[in-house]
Amino acid sequence: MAEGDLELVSAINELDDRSFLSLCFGPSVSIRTWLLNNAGRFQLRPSLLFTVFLGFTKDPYPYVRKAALDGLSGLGNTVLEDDTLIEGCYYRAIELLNDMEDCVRSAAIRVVITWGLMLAAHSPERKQHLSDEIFVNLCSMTRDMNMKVRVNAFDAIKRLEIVSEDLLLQSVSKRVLSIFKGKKSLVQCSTEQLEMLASDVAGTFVHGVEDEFYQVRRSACDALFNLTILSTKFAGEALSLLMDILNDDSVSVRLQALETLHHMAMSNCLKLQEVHMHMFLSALNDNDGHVRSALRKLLKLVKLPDLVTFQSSFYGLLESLESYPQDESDVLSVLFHMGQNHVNMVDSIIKDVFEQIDPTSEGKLGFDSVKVIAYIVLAISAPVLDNHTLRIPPRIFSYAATLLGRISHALGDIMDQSTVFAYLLQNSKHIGLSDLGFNPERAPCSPTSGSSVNDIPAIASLKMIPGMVHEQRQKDDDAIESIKTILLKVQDIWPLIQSGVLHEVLRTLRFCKETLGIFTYRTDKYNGALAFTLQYLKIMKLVAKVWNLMSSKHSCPCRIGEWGFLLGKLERGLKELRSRFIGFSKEEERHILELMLVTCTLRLSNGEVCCHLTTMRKLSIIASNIEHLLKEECKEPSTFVREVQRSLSNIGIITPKAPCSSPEFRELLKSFTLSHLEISEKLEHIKAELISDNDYEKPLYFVPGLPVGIPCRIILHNVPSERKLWFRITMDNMTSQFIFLDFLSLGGCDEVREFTYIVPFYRTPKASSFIARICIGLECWFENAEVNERRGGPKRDLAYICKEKEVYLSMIHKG
Amino acid sequence: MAIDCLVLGAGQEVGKSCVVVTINGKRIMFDCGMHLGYHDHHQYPDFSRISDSRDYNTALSCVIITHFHLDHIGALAYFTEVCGYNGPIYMTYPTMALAPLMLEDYRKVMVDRRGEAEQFTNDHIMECMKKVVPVDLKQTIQVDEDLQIRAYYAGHVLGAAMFYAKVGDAAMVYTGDYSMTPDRHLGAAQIDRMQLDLLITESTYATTIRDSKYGREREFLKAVHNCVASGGKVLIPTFALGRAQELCILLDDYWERMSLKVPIYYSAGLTVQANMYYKMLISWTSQKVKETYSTRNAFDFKNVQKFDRSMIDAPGPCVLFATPGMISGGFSLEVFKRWAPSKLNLITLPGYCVAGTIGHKLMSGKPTKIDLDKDTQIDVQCQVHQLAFSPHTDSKGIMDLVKFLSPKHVILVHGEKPKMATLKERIHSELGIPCHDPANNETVSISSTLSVKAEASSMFIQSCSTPNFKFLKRNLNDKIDSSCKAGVGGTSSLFIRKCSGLHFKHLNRNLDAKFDSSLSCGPELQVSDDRVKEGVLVMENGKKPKVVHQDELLLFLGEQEHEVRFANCRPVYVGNLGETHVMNCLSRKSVWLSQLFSKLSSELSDRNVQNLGEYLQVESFTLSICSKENCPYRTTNRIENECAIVFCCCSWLVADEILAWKIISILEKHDLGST
Repeated sequence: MAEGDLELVSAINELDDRSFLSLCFGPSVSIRTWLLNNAGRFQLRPSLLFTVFLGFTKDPYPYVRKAALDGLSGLGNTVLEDDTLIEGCYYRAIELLNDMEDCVRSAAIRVVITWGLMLAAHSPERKQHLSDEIFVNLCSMTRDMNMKVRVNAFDAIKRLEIVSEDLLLQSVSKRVLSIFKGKKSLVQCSTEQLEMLASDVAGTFVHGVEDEFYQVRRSACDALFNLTILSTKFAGEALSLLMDILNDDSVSVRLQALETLHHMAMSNCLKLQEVHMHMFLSALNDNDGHVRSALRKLLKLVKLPDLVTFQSSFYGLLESLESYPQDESDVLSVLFHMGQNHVNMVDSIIKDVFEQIDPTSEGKLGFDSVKVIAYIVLAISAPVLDNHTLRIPPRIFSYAATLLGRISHALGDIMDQSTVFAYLLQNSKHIGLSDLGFNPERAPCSPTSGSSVNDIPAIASLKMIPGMVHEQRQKDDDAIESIKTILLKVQDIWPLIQSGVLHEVLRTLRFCKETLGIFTYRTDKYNGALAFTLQYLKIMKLVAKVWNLMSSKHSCPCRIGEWGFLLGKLERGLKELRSRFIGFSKEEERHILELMLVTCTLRLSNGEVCCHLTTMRKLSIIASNIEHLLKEECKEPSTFVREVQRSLSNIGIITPKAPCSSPEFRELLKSFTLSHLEISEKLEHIKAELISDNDYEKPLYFVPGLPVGIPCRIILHNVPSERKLWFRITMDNMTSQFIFLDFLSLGGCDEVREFTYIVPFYRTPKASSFIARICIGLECWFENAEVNERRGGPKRDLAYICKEKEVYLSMIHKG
Repeated sequence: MAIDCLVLGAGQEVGKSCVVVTINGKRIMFDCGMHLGYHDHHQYPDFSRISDSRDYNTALSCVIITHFHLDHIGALAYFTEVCGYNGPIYMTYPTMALAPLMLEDYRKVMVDRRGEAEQFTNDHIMECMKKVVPVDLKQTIQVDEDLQIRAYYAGHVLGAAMFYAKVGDAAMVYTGDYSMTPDRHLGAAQIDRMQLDLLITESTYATTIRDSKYGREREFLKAVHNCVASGGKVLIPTFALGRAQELCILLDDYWERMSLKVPIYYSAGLTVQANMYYKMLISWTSQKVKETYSTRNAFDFKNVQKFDRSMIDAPGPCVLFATPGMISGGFSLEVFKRWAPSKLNLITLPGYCVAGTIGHKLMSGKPTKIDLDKDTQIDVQCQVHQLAFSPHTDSKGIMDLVKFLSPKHVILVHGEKPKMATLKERIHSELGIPCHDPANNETVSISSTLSVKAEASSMFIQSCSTPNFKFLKRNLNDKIDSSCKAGVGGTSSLFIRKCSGLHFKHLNRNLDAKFDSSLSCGPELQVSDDRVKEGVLVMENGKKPKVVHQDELLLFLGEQEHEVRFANCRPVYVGNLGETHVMNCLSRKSVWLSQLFSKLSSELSDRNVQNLGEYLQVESFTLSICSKENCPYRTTNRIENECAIVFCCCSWLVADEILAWKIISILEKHDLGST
């Protein structure tokens, strides 16, 4: 069907229950498939949808079955009260696990888990039983020949909350366990059936983690995530499996395994044993930085069983430190944590090597070697928890003071520099200051304020120091304080906007922006909040301009173009504001939504006809979002929101013929007032850096008509793994091409991912040279799919998260 | 129609795989291998059994070779050039590339070393290869008008494939050798789910269940790493194709990850040539190798270099791949002699070594001295590590494949007899699929799907293209229902997916009989869409078969509708109702009927009981008062106290039999007089 045809689209939007059904039951298979796939677009009753979907799972055409199943799993959110219906749907999906077509089996798995869990939630007394049943069914799908089916099966297993221990144990053994032979207590069925059941489950995870496709292996590791908590015995078996995966050739699989291990350690079911140590520690030497860092994160938590493993971990860390000096601070931090977790083991290690550390005894170790620092950090870690200071020679603490810069840098996540220093002094006070035994010249300088900290007089006057080392923190506090003040000020300008003093408003906003500029990029902690505020100011500027135009528009109709342009900019800005930050509080989210509501109303108030329907629909979606948020917070809606809701309910179902007039919307806007925005400090800014060392002088070469690869260096900040990224490559501002960026497979952790990627550009023109503009866009999670659907491109609107980069390309010449 | 399967080789043994299958009249030979353990006429399959006249060209439609191992291809040159088969031969591209190498290598060994008379020449091999038609994976080949074949990836070795063959509606799969778990360089077998009448599968490890490959890899890497870390040398004797590449990738990857600098060498010779083939045939390797191919060919080993003889005694640690695999001679023996005396060094051995080789001696116990010949004795001090890597699937893999494909019959080949018997039993009992393990030269006949070409009536076509689903709400018996609903404490059985297909009926029925599981725990709500089932195939002599819709069947045949009704005339005790004597016969009847009506309505509250004046009706069940003296449906004629008895004539359709008997039992218990 032609998506671009506006008339058709609006005609489709009007489809009601009856015509939907009659089309569905018509003989054309493609129409049926399309309708089922797009059923969500029409306002149909959920019960009707359910009946249609469930019925069409019997269709002889596989794509119809798949569409019906997809529809059913999408229906999962709507609450059906009737157990029988849920059960019927769930059992139908189980039947379809046997389908001949891969895509149907895949879809059936999703329905089994969604509806199975729903059924379990409806009948709590059968929950255990049902969970087992779902588990067995899903396990039997993990040996499917199709990769996607297997991935889906493991993804579904992850969603289970409870499974019997026997079944779990069977899933990590390929042989049928003796507990299943001749045992009848689990469920009431014969030995024969029980063994069949066991053979379905047998070795699920063993096969999963040695699968050919990294996607399956990753999903299998992920599936273990929640299950390990259920049984200690199973956790032990799973641990052995996960240890083996640390040897996997795919980085993303190794990282996933470590994440699962980390989760196990957090929930206290990680019992490391000596047999695991070889694999475990060899990952410390992994050449991928993220794997090493994930493993260290794990080591901070792990409880090691005995001295031997403790020692081997310690030496493992030392070894890794030698080959990867860049990890120093993190390794030291791990040592500190390990020391805190295993106080007694630290004692015995330090006792052995103390002689070597002590420079007075002329041991073999040089004072400045990394190894000594490692020992010292380990040594000073112990007394933090209990005051066994006497067991660790106090002199070590004074040595540590000389390395303050490096140590405090490493321990940045636990305490700041002054605390470290005070702590070291506290513990070394048993010896006189004169005994400190280091001379100022040899002391390495600390990164922040080298002069004051290592001066001996400064040590004497402890009071002065906190001021110095608190500088950074102070800067951070300043930033957040001024952000808060500015936001207060922004609220004050609302009356100005309403009264139409545009000039004054813009001046105030400019001033705010300049104030913030002082802090830009000087604070680490509140970068997100800062970026947010800047964007917010920009939006306020646009709002002010649009508002001004609206009030003056009667007199000047020729400015309609500007009006549309500004509104578009405002919409984009808000979209960016909403999608490029993570960690919003409910209040912030509501504030943004309210601004979006205003923008929609502004657009409607103009009386433009072209996009009337979509804007109306958007309006109602945003309004219901706000309502939902308010309900969660148990708060009353603002006057404006209430007014909008009222007029929406007056209009009723949104159809092109629905009565509504632009003056009415203009009336609505009068009830809007800007409320104060309380900013939360934890905001994170999603952004990307795109670097390519290509310029006018050094163009990339291409052959017209053939694809060309554009090598780019990409750094992603704070992109959550569930979001989708796209490259947009535009040429001549005319044609653009979208390339999906599967950044998950390229490794890295959520906060910062760094990698090189070769972006393919397919439609090279017949030109001797041209400029392509590359940009990375983030798919908005909230935008509805119907708004934008490009073939092969992103399904939702994009918010661009980096500056557009120009790439120069030149045709290759022979000879 | 039937599928006949004549096993010429690899029946209850390993070696000379050769199966001739006749499907709907087409004959296909799968594999044409030789037995390496024999040197007489047992070496080759007994081709004469295919055709008495020895005219193989008319007897066979085609020959299909699954992979290049000698026990699957060894007799091919002999069969084509000496026996004179000229028809098409199908194999995958890599097999076609590597087969002549293998055959020529074997021919040389036979002629040069053993001095045997050659059964085929180099020219024979070249001539034979000219008849080969190469196929790609999942490419459907129309061998002739009726016969279709298609290759699926089988893992095992480079280019190994499973073959699907279809004639009419009869379809089968011959697996050849396959592996269900991937290794470092080859993927796992991959096949679509299809309707199959027959699956012929290998069963080398019919009873073994292997542990995770990670464990084996870990042990191997640990042993190698420890050895080189302490300054020792590692000798890895392997064959040129397959294992060598896998271990190379494994080590190269590990070296890369651990940033090890110790050199890895491979001895020149066949390995170089083999690596070249692997590099070219990259699309036949595992997913991982394919994925990284764009950045780097996994067979361009970064850390692997060529070895020079002069380096044998060079100091320092190293890892060396050398041929042949069992240290039976050649370069690996030469190196072994030099390196065995040092305690630091390590020798890794393949999983299987032929008796008589040094490898075999090392495996059986830990000798300190090995006599090479009369004069030389090797002092063995080095460590020995045994590799347990195998490219064959284990029994779990076989079961998984059979379960996935759910064919109607299974035939096991390529395995050891006692183990095959165990597996056969398992397939039969656990999956409910009839399974056979024929010996050599035995024929197994199985029935296959019969296909009929038929016209379809327009009404049927129309009803097929219109969706027509119904929801059935099963009315569960109250008693069973409560037991199901009250399934607390694990008293109900799990609803597990069952493979569809006829062959499962036997199993399901078994289960049903025992636990009534399908009755008590099937879902209450079921969907059905019977549009195809509503078709009826009509075959008349002299006319084309035709499919018509069930509603138009009678019209089509020009027949009247017949109904078979069951009837029974039951006595009902009405008591001695004094006042009824007064009434006439007609009104008496209606009184009784209305009494029965109220009784039945209260008993069968969930049914629609109707009183139609003359008779009562529930679904198709009807009941009327019988006034005949000799009703033919009456079973009990002699009744005491006749005046208190009235006869009720009941009749019903077979579909409502249960209901009918329920009503009758209600009637029997009933005493109208007491009400």
